[in-house]
Order: sequence, then C-alpha cells, then structure tokens
Amino acid sequence: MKIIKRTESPFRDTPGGMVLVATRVASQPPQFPPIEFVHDDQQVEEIELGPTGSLYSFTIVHPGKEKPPYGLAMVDFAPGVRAFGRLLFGTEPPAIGSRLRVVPFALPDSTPDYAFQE
Amino acid sequence: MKQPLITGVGITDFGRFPELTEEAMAQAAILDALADAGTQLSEVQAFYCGNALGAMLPGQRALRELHAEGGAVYNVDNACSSGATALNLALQALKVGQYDTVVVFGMDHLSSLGGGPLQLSQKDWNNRRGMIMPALYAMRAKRYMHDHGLTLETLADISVKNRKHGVLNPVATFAKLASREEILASRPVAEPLTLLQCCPAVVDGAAALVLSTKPSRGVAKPVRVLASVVQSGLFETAPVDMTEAEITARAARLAYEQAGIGPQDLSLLEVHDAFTISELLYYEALGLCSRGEAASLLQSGATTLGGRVPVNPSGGLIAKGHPPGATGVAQVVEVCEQLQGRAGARQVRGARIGLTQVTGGGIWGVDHAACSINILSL
Repeated sequence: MKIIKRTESPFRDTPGGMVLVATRVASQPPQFPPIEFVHDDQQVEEIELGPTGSLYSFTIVHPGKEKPPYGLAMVDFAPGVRAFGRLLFGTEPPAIGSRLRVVPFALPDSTPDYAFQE
Repeated sequence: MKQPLITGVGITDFGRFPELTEEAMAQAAILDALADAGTQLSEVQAFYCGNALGAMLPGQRALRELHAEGGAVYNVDNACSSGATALNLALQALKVGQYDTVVVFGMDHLSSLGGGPLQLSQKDWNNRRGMIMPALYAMRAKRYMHDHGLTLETLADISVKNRKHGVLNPVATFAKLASREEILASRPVAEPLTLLQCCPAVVDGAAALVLSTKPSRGVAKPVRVLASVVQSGLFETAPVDMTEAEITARAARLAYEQAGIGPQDLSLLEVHDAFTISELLYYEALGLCSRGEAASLLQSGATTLGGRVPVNPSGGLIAKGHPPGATGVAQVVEVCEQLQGRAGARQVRGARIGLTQVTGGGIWGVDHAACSINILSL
C-alpha cells in the first residue's frame, strides 16, 4: 500500500491575484478541492483557477438570531471547474453571472482559507 | 424469479415526541404492519432497517424487545434514501427466494438531536465552509429563478399545496395550513427559502412494510412493486446545471423502463420535497412536464389533490416531516394506502399506479448522493 497525503495549499497568491489550485490525476477531469490522497505513483497536475470566475449561483444563509448571515457561492472557473466557498459582499450580493475574485478568508477555527468577492 | 408483494403497512404519527425513542416508534410501526399483513413476527425471516441518524445497530436495537428470534437484520444507511434502499435490498432477496417473508422499516428520532438543520459531517470540504442542506437547495432555487423566471410566490405555493394535503393526513401531526403570504413572511433560512418552505427540522417517525412471496393474508389487497431502482450521484467537478436533478431523471428512466410505463400512467407521486424548490425540480426530472414548465404545472392544479396527478397527497416532507430513515418507507406506505383506497380524506380517486422518489445528499462533489424510486400498483 502506498498512500501519500498531499500537503500543498489549495490556494496561492500570484502576480495577478489570489488563485485556487485544482488538481488533475491521469485522465480524470480537474477537480477542486484538489485531491487529498494520491495512490501509488499517480501523477498529479496542478491547475490554477482564477483570479476571477463567474458566479453560477449563491445564497445568503440566516443561521438564527445569535449568528450573522453569511453568503455561499458556486463559482465557475476556466478550464471548466466549479468551486464552492464563502461569498463576501457589502449591502447587496452580486448578480448571477458577475465576475468574482478569489480573496483571502479564514475558517471559523482561524485556518487561512479563501472566499469570493465581486 | 418470485413475485414479492407488500402485504401489510404500518406507520406511526409523525411529529415531535421527545419522550419516545426511535426504537419504540419502529416497534409500533412494525407491529402495525404485521397486524395489517395478518403475519406473525415468528414468520419473518429477515428485517431491513433504514436509519440515517441513529447510533450503531439500529435494527437490532428496535427489534430487541420484540423478541425477533435472531433472524437476519440488515442495517442500511443511505442518508434520506435509507428506508427506500432497504426496500430495494429486501425485494432482491425475496425475488431470488432467499427469504419468503421479510419486514422493511425505517426510523429516525430528530428530537434527540437538538434541532436545526440536519447535522452534516464537518470533515466535508463544503460543510466546513458553511454548507447546510437548505443552502444547497437555495442555490438551486436562485439559479432556477434566474433561468426560468420562477417567482417567490410560486415557490411558496408548493408549501401551501402540501400543507393543504398534510392537514388531511392524521399521522401528519405537525401539519398546519399557511397562506402564501405567511410562508413568504416566515424567517429566511437560506435565501430565497424561508422557514415554511423547508421541511420541519425536528420530526420523529417510523414506518414499516411486510413483504412476502406467499399468498397474502392481509387486511387490504396486496401491492405489487413494478419497479425499484437505487442510483448514486456522479462525482461532478465541472460546471453542471444544478437545476437538472440528474440522478432523479436517471433513476426515473430506469424505473419507467422496469415497470413498462411512463409518467403519463401515474395516478399519484410521493416525492422528496425537503424544500419547495425540490418538488418543482422533480416534476421535470420525473417527466411530469418539460424543463422550465414546473411552475405552470403547479399553477394548473394538476399536482393538487383533485388534479390530474396529485403530488405528495400525504403532505410530503414539508407538511408531514422528514425523519430521514423513515421517509422512503413512509412514502411507500402512503402510496399503498392510496392504491388500496384507504387514504381517507386525502384519497386520490381511482388511484392505479403510484411512484415514490427520495434522494439523499450532504457530501461535496456529488449533487445528490443517492436516489431511490419505487413504482407500485395493485
């Protein structure tokens, strides 16, 4: 058995802005989130998504009186990968089809993460 | 191949029963189904238990105090499709003659879990980033509204319809009528879905079926299963149409082929209306109408009791509730009672063929992880 856990970050900064990092294994389509475990001697190709993508759909979640609302989005990137993440916005969320940037964010446990913003 | 028949059905009240357990509710449903089938517990050779949110060995826990004689117990977890998947497995065993009499049951007790949306694994990529089931369907609704001009009012009308059905169902103890305006004014959960457009978060219940290849001794006419299909979701990382309900369309094609019928032959359906948008998407995926025409079908009254093909005459998940392990079995109980002409005030006149559809989800990359469709007839 040979199982390798990838430790590469799923996002990175580039001169053009923050991008997500998808992976493609052998003849499979690219995927985001990137593959976490690699078997045997599988070759993994990294593919940068972004820095902008198109908003496919979104929602604003209202978790209740104790917690503030938050946005979630499905964003489509070239070369044909959809990514899910938090949607950041001011007073009004962007419209479907808007161009969104990948921006820094943090998970509730403070782990550095990504989000989408117009 | 032998021909299994559903010879008895049983169902508990669906509602909030914090003083009860899922085991106690399952026992009630099983005893109800056995009495309906005229079958003794000692005649049952195997039990198939659908349960999504309980702990280990749910079937054995439920059967222990019934003294079920130590026969085979199969515990099935396929999220909200658990009960319907259990039925599919039972049918396979009966057809090949492994058993001649079995019980299928489903149960969940959400009162034990503290309320709120179904708890999804926080190891999942999407769930760690705030995904909850209402949000996934809300995004489908947003996109459907964008693509097809669906209005908030039409979304709410699914809830109005199913609540009207639900108050006619004596087991739907949670069902309450609500107007379009009340539904739209209820608190937002995940825009555009409001609270009264989501199945209630805390509902307990159980349902059971007796199936046999022997001649029926049941109270009512036995029910044939014309088709039983379980499918799994595709791993999709590319941009796909989230309004398509692909897994349901795929399962439906297989089920119609197996049954030798088409959607035009259906008298009624019980579908997985966990959220208002779901039922509209399934109208299209199940072939009741073309893509983009679900709102028109609803507004025509065809899917309301008294219409051409009533959908969710039980009240569905929105009005009856959704203990996930029980739902797939409860849908079959409803269709059996409709076909047998014993559905009381919610009876679909002249019901001949009914379809049940239930999905199961909650993991990233797979739009719906599971889908089970059954087509039933006398």
